[in-house]
Amino acid sequence: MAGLRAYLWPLAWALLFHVVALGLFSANWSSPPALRQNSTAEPMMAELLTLVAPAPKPAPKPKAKPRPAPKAKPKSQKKAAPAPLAEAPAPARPEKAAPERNAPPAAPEPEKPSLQEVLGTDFEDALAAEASSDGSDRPEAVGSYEADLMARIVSQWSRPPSARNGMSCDLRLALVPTGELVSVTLVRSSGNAAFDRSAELAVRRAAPFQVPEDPAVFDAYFRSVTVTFSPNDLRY
Amino acid sequence: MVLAFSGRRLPSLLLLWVALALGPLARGELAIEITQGVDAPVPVAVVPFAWQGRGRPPEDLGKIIRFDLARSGQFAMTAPEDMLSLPSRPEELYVRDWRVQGIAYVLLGSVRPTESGLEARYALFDVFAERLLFDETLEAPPGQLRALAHRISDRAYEQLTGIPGAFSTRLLYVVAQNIATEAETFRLEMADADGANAQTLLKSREPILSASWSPDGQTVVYVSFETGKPAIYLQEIATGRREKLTDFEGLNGSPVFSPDGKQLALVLSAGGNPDIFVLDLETRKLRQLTRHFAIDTEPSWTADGEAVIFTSNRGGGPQIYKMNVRSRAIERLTFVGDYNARARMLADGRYLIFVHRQDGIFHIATQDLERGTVQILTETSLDESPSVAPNGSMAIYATRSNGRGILAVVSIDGRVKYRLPSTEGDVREPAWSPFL
Repeated sequence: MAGLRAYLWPLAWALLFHVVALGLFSANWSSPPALRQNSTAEPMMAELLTLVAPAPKPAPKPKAKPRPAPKAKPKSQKKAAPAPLAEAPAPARPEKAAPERNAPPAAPEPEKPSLQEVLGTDFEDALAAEASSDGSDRPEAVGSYEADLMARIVSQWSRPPSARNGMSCDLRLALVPTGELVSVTLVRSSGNAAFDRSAELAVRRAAPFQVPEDPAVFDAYFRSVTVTFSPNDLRY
Repeated sequence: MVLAFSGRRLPSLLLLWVALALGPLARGELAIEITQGVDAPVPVAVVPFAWQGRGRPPEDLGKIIRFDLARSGQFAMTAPEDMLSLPSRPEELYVRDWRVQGIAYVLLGSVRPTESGLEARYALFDVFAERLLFDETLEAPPGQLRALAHRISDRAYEQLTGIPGAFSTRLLYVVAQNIATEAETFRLEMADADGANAQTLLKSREPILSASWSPDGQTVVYVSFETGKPAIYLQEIATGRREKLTDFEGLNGSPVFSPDGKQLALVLSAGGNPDIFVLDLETRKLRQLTRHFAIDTEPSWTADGEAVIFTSNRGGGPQIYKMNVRSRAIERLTFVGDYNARARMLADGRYLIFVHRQDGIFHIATQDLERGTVQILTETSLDESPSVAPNGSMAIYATRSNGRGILAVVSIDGRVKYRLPSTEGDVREPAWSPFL
């Protein structure tokens, strides 16, 4: 027992080290400027703990886009790592390290979730946030209906032998709230009539579709759907 | 506390990064991109054609068309007994009868005898779009009912696949009977692409080899041993008029027309060992193309007529080479395996189809000349002499079944295969005609 105990601290440190290393790694992805500051482990851990509760929902944009980067500098206090100007940030209270305004670290930044926000959120919440993040305020359910629609069409799409990788056509589907197909319009031809017709046939055979019951969501996303057919799995 | 926390969070962190890797999605109205499909046969119904003459129809046009389309492997055909109604005009077609069975396209029509022969009216209907794709008539001389049916198959196939149909084409092949006996005979035969209407072009007690078509489909060339040694002959199909082109000392073999029909590539061994020559059919001048101590044989032309591809063992084993007929620049095309022979280039210039040996077994294979990848198309073991249909969709080849030589067909993508029934003897050396 006592022997095991002797290992506890080294073990704890080792694990701590790994957590920090991983955090650094991901922090680098989400906000490049933050990386430099992160040489000390403590501020990070502190943030981790403080942020467990809040789980901010507001559509975070986790993609590492160049746009948020400049903003990140002045507001860096909410980043785990950040506090760019702080030479030696106080380990347990990173908000102090931030020189300027806006102290509370829990306050979620809408456009860009930091690693800590993501970590602090429950996984389900994080996924939901991710799901709703791609189109601005796209409801979470849209994705699954979209996937279902796509799968149904894929399973019905039989390409003619003249189809070639690189061919591409767009069809616009008009749906009604029951999921039935009202019309299919060829909005961009591939130049190969048989190919275009195979796509149209796939849509007609796949109908009716599952659509969201919420009329607002249906109107926003499913009343009109544009589907691009561009095979990339053909032999030619 | 911290440890437990990180342990629980790590997987979710990783998952999240995976989720982030998925592509961006559009805003608002859905835009979906579909890049895969199933390529299952499309359900098509060919309704028995109505006969508008007196008495009984000579043959059901619908049945011939049904067999044609089924052979292509692109369509799942509905049996007439499963049809809920038998319309013969588009006005009589009830969309629901077909939609309920999941049938995507219906081909229907009628035939009537006219003063000059037969007239078919036929229509192709898109069930799901409820749209008539075509409604046409076609005439044929009397007795040409099968030809009429194949023409309609061609139209439907082209409409549905985007590729011209090759049902109205013909096959050339050699039938050998009573091999290695006193009564040994060889016949050069020509039949419709579905194997029907076989007729004999030449009968001989000595072997007939390497028959092939002129680009206009009016003439054939072949090697015959009728004089006891090989000679190359030209024969007009319609008149049966024959002409001996070469009978040099040694080998006279593998004649093939150039795409413009003005030249013939062939193999002669007059110089000591087999080399590729080009014979100008107007001037009758011979030009030696390859000059190598190795065996060069089995020539064929690229679609543009700029080059000849051939089999040569100059690198050790048989491989496929290509030589430009003007510059004589030579290039080796095949590198996979130690035996590749009897190549034909597809019209797109990108694929080569040839006999490929793997583990001692001879298969028909294709090679993508851009990527160098080889795909084996056939599972049987003694496959030889592939010849490609003029629409580039299928290749016919010779193989063996129960000890007999038969002809089989495989689609260029390897997914569709069928055999042509042979009634008698050993069938070999098939050649698919151009569009006629």
